[in-house]
Amino acid sequence: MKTETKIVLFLLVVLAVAEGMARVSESSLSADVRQMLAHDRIPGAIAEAQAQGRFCVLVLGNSLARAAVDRVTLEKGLREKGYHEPLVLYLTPDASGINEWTAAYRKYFPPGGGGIRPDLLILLTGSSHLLDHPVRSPEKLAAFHASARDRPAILSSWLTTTSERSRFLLASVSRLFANRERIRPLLFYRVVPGYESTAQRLNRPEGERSQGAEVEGATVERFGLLLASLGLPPERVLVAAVPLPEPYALPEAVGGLASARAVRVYREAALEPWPGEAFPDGYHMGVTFAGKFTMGVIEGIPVANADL
Amino acid sequence: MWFNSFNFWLFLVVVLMVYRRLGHRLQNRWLLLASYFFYGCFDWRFLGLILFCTALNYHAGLRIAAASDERRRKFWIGWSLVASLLVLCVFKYLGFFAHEASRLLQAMHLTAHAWTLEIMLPAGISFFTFHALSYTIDVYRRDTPVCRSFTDFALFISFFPQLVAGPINRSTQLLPQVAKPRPNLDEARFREGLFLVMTGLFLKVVIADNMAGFANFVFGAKPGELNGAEVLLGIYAFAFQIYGDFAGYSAIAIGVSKWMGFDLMENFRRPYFAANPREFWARWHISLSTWLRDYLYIPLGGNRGGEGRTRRNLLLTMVLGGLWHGAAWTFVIWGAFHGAWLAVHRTCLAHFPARSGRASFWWDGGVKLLGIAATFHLVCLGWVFFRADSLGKALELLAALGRRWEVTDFLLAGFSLMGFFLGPWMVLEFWTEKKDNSLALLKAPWPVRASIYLYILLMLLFFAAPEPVEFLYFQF
Repeated sequence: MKTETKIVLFLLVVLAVAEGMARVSESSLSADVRQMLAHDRIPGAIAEAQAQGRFCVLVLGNSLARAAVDRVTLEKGLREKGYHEPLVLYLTPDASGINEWTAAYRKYFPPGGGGIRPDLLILLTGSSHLLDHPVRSPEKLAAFHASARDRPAILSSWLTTTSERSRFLLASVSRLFANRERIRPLLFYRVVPGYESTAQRLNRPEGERSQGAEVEGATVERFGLLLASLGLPPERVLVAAVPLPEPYALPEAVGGLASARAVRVYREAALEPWPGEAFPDGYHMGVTFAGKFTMGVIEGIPVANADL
Repeated sequence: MWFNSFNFWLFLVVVLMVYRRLGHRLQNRWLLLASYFFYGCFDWRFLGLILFCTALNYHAGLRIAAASDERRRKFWIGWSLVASLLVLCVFKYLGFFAHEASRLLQAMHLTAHAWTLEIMLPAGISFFTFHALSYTIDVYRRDTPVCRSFTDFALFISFFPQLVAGPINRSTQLLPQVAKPRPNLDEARFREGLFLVMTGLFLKVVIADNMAGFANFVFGAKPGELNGAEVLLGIYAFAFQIYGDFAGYSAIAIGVSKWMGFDLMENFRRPYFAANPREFWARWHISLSTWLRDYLYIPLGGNRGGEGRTRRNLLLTMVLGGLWHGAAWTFVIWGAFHGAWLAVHRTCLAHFPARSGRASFWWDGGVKLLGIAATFHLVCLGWVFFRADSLGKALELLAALGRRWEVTDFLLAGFSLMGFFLGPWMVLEFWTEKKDNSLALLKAPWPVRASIYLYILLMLLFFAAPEPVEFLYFQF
């Protein structure tokens, strides 16, 4: 055998072994991966709970939503409103937005037909998460959120460049490729002194720029697709704006689309200024204030047997 | 369509698959079509410009060869030089000179506002202009026969691996390869190409792009935001960013060309192991430094005519070399700095010739090491002007070098990451330097090569920079 062929074969074999290892042990790569893998159990949990007559609430959003919606407060509040043994489930992947939420919801609750659905969906957003924006991680979308049915549409219309499409396709078939960006922080955060503060320092200006760019002139096509895919009557859907350190108003396009589809929007909490201690890490809500926000969300939900 | 993009590799697979099935003449047409497609992906509007430059110099070459007397030959070479450089000047330098002239007029109260003329810079214009000029000058000097096939000539100008960022190949070297049937892809060519492509991608994606974060941060920082050691870190980071970026691009270009049967000239030879400026320029952007030597320095008189004229020629050549990189005073200063340094080094050599007699391993080794360290730091000093957005910014950074030297998280993380990304590569370069052969690794047993390729592959997979960065030399 020619030596270069041996080398190429060697590389392919090692990659195949690494791919196998990635498939077996990807949950140990990060809490984010564990959480996304756990999302696969949501439809089953809903089916089981509904069979027992329980009221199922799905919280859809990202880590902002996870931090801001207090499960205990929400379940208690719903019980007080007359809902039977409410069960709150979170579909809240980290660093996600409308692309991931739409894809993930459609994956677990395929549109059309009378499949499993939550009894109530609470969709939580920050200032711009419901606006259309480029897919941030085609790898994550492919490996964790997109259903086989949606892949062609995502490839043709959600992703715009050959590079994004190639990454999406590669991540669809390889967990090693899909999770490749997790190795870097896993190693550097542990081994490199001062890495965390340095990474924040290096990335700060970029983050500030992209935040501003997203809001300007954005559209809400993907949000429209999500609303159309829910398979729930509008009264079973609540869109809530999560408070952030700086008060904000939901973009008009979001509010306009929600009202056109007769979906209720709870926006008041985001309009008021919250004290600094409400956000212990400077971005996510702390437990105490999450309880207060959750009470506000509950107010937006009608009592059992009234509208629902 | 960058070499570090999926688009390029998909494009290359299609090009190679078709290329291998064609005969020589059709191969050239196919490569020309692919090259124009490649260039059009950057900006299709400039396809007309590259065609114009091609036709201009093709025609000039024919007229030079057909000219019966010296006067007509001179006219056509002059026409080729003036017209090509005029195109280059309009796109690259007109805005700069107009702005500087208007500032002068403003200072003399002859105009109220400085003029701003923003002309879009066509990708790789400096590279294909120099390609074209090397051809007409070589035809004029009778160093190369005139090319009578427009397809061959157009391919020589626009051959896609080297079109937008070099290496700048000479007509004497590349045109014969275009004109004659090329060797098929055999094991030796595949091996060499694979090595160059793998190392090129590593240099760009792992080294350059990871260093870019630190360099961009330091060169874009506000005054007083950084201490002296942090500024030094940023300068080192840029030194390796530009090296990884450009040497990586060149290696990929040469490697990909190998797979198509072309042999392009080596462009980088471990430049940071140079022990003096002359050696540095024999190792850094070799295709440009030799171009400047053969088409500018030597015609200016080279080292004929005494030390004073030699120093003047060195300075002039390097200033123009600096200006070739871009229309800004920072590039002029960078070129002048290297010119002056080369001239000083030449004077030092004349007064303190190298020690002769019995060599001492420790003495010679120590002197060599000192030379390498001093050369690297002086090159870094030049990079400050090269990278800074303005002269003021460069001077501000140099002043900051003397401020508050203290250990910070940024410094610790920066140097740790530099060690992580650069360490193994520099060990490989050191080993290659000892062997004095850029392709020495190809002679190593296959398990050694396989292990190194595996390391590169895993680094590319797991430690590519979070944000891919455009190739720096593309803008030149």
